[in-house]
Amino acid sequence: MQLQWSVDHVLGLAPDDGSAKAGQALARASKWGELGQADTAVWGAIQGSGKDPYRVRIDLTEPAFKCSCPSRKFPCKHGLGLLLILAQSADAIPKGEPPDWVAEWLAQRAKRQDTKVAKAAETRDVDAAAQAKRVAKREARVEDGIDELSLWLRDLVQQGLGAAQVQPESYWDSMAARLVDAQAPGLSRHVRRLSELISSGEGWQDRSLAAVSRMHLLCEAHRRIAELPADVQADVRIAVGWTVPKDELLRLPRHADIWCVLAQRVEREEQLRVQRTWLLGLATGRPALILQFAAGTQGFEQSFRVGSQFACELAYYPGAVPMRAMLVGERSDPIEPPKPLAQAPSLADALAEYARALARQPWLESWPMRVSGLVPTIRGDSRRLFLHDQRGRGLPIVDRFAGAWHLLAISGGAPLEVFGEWDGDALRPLAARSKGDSFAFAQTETATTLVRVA
Amino acid sequence: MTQSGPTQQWRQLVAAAVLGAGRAGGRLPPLESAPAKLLAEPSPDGALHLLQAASVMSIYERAGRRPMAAAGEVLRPSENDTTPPCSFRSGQHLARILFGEFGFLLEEWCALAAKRGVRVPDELLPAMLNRLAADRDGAGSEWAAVLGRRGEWLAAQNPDWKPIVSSRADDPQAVWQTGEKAQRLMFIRRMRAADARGAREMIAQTWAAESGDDRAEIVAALAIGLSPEDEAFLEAALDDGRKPVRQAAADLLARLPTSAFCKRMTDRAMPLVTLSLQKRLLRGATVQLEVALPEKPDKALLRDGVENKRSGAIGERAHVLCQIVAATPLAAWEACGAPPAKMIAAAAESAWREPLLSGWAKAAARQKSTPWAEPILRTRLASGDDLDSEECRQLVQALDPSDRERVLTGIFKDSSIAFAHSVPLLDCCEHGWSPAFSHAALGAMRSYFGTSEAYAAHALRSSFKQRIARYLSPSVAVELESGWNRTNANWHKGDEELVSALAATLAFRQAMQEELSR
Repeated sequence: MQLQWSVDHVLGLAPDDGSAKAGQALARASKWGELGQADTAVWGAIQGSGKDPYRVRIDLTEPAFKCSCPSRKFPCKHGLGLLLILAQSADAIPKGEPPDWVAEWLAQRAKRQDTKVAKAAETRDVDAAAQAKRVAKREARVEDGIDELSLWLRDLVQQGLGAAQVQPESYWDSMAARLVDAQAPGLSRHVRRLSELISSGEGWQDRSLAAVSRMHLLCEAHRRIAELPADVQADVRIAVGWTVPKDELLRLPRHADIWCVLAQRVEREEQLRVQRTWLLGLATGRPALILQFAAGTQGFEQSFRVGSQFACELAYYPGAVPMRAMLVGERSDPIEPPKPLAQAPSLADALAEYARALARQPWLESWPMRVSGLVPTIRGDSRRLFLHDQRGRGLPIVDRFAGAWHLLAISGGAPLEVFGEWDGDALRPLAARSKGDSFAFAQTETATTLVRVA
Repeated sequence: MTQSGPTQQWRQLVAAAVLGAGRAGGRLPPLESAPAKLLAEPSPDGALHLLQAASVMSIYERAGRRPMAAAGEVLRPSENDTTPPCSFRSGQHLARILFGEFGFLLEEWCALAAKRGVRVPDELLPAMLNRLAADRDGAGSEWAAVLGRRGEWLAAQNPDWKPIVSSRADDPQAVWQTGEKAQRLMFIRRMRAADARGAREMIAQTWAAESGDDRAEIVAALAIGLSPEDEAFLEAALDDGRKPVRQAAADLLARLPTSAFCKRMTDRAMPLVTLSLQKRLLRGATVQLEVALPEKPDKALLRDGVENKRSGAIGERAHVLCQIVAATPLAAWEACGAPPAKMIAAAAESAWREPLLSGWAKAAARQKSTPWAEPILRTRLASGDDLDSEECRQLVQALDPSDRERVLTGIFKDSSIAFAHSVPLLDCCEHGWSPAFSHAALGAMRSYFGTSEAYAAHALRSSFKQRIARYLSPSVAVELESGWNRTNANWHKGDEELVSALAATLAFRQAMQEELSR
């Protein structure tokens, strides 16, 4: 059986609000020709401004889009329009075998997927000596940068955080820029973040000192990196800003499982959009984070439907608490019907688990937390949301969280299972389950919505 | 929410760090035993020692954090709903109404869902309640039925949403006596619809303490469920100190033909306007009209809300006549035996055209009289350019849906009435159009859009996009996109947008109706 597509899912794929709107305008079967659907594909043709109608093909397993129009947006409005028809009135699209122009593309895709995996696995024939030289050069630069940062941190604490609060912007900018030059972009980000924390309102002192200490700890760890266990070494290098080459990832052990897409969130960093997708392995209970980046209005390379499940092999980035991962094998068709997830831990157990992870990886920034038995309430004049367990013990929620009433609405005062990102101070809820119904938050440019995903 | 407080030691570290190690001096407290083990050897440099200690302590703090009991009462859970939530697809339709381009279809969704016996899905309740808080009228009359227990429970916890459901609260007296203005008006309108007498009695209890502005709105709310029982209250309101209150009361009394108010107006009107039926052998019956202008209004007339001033092209005394006619029961004129159309024709040809026609138009709207509204509307439309669109709207809305469809279909066929005058009337036909009327309306629109008169009708197009699309029968979806004057030089790109928007809305409504009637 085909997965049921919802309008929200489809609109969630749109690269911007303009495309979403244009797609909706095309979402009427009467505008289309050559419409058809099979289990894992849908296709159609639509007259655009070109001479010939544009032919649109969608592989529903990811979904992947292909359209003959010249738009640089991805997916284009035609692809969105077609998928919207499927979501709104699937019956309007006749079922049948894919015609040649669709079948060929699907076959090509399957083939390309295979060669991609094979190619990536090949060890690249690079000039090993030149490579080693480049690495050594960068390491020297990073070390210089770290020495400078250490001194800067010492001075900061010597002069006091209070004094840092009145520093001009250039004070932070020059250190951040220096670390970029030193090829340590991770540390540069830490400095920028600190400049935000230092003026973040009530409780800034605690937050700022915690951030300063984490940076200090990172500098110290890097100085003694050779003495550290291999997985911690990897954490330190990643935190400093080294990237892990893909071919290295492919050599790491693979983890086969059925993965459930728990939640998804897109952050904007200037011109870049960063998509964070949280997976949970059904057999192992291990979480995994898939990060994808896209510039401007470009789409993300892979798409994940929240609530769906698929079988695949994953490679985790190295570290003491492996979390970020990459899909290395081919994804199976969505598992239908979805399999039940294991019971989520209680609040006390979830926090204990976090403490153990923090002991292994002190620089953990966001931790996937799945907790059962949480009752939402909204209290006080500030109308803040509280999530508390049966014993009345509660988790603080991130400031300016826009989904409080949604959680209250689906709970009706009864306990929920909540999934979110825990940063050590507060939880950012991303998904929830209530009596067998699953929901996930979706953020459009204008509104926060809670969407039923299963 | 409180958390287990930070350790004393961390507080001291933070205090020292804010001040600066340089000024705080080298006296840092010794670390607690557990984290101390993690710190190999303290640096002799004060600032570095502070950093070392803070590095250890910040992780220690973070890892050891325990949730603390939240203060305050525990929420009473929502009662179970007996109505099931709507289907997944219907929920999607509602989401598009609440977040997308079909906001104007909320009323229809609610009516269909209420009929089907389903409610708003839980996850859409916040958006639904936000929408209702901003615009309840746009949601029609059935929205309360589709909120369900869960919706009421949720709304009761948010001060912005509370007024929406508070009229169903346990103690209606409390809402009426202590609620906010909007909440009270909302409450009394609903109560009026359910129990007209009870609502009036409740109003009477607090009447003396109401402010002038509130009194005017409360009186206006009596239009709902108006009956002769309300007369005594309204008559008393004619002596109110505030003009808006007196006017609202007079307007409602004019809708009660058996009232003493109407009797007074009839007694004033009859000597002023004399209508007599003259039967002539060859020319059939005609109506003879004689008009005497009234004297300067006396106190009694002023008390009945008649104003002594001119209105537009109508002079002072003629306007007094017009107001008297507007408040006189139409049946009083019918006593002369002539059909309304004849009387209207006679008035239209006389020097008293304006005061009489606009007076009768107002009376026809107030008394919802089809035999009067139709000929006045036709006379006005046929005469052309100086149309009072507000008057036309009131006349169209005075007709009940089946009369309205019949009258307008006739008007579209009448070659003496320009489409430029008749097509805009569709904008005020706020009822579900029958397939036949939808077809006729489309025909008229096809004759109008694409002509030079329609070229600049931008406001009408944008209004049609939302309003017409709500009322058209989905049965015309098939024919909708064809037959337009697309080749005409005056075919505006806005016309194409209008057709396409109507088609999109109809397709959506069709899907919505299908899903909710399954």
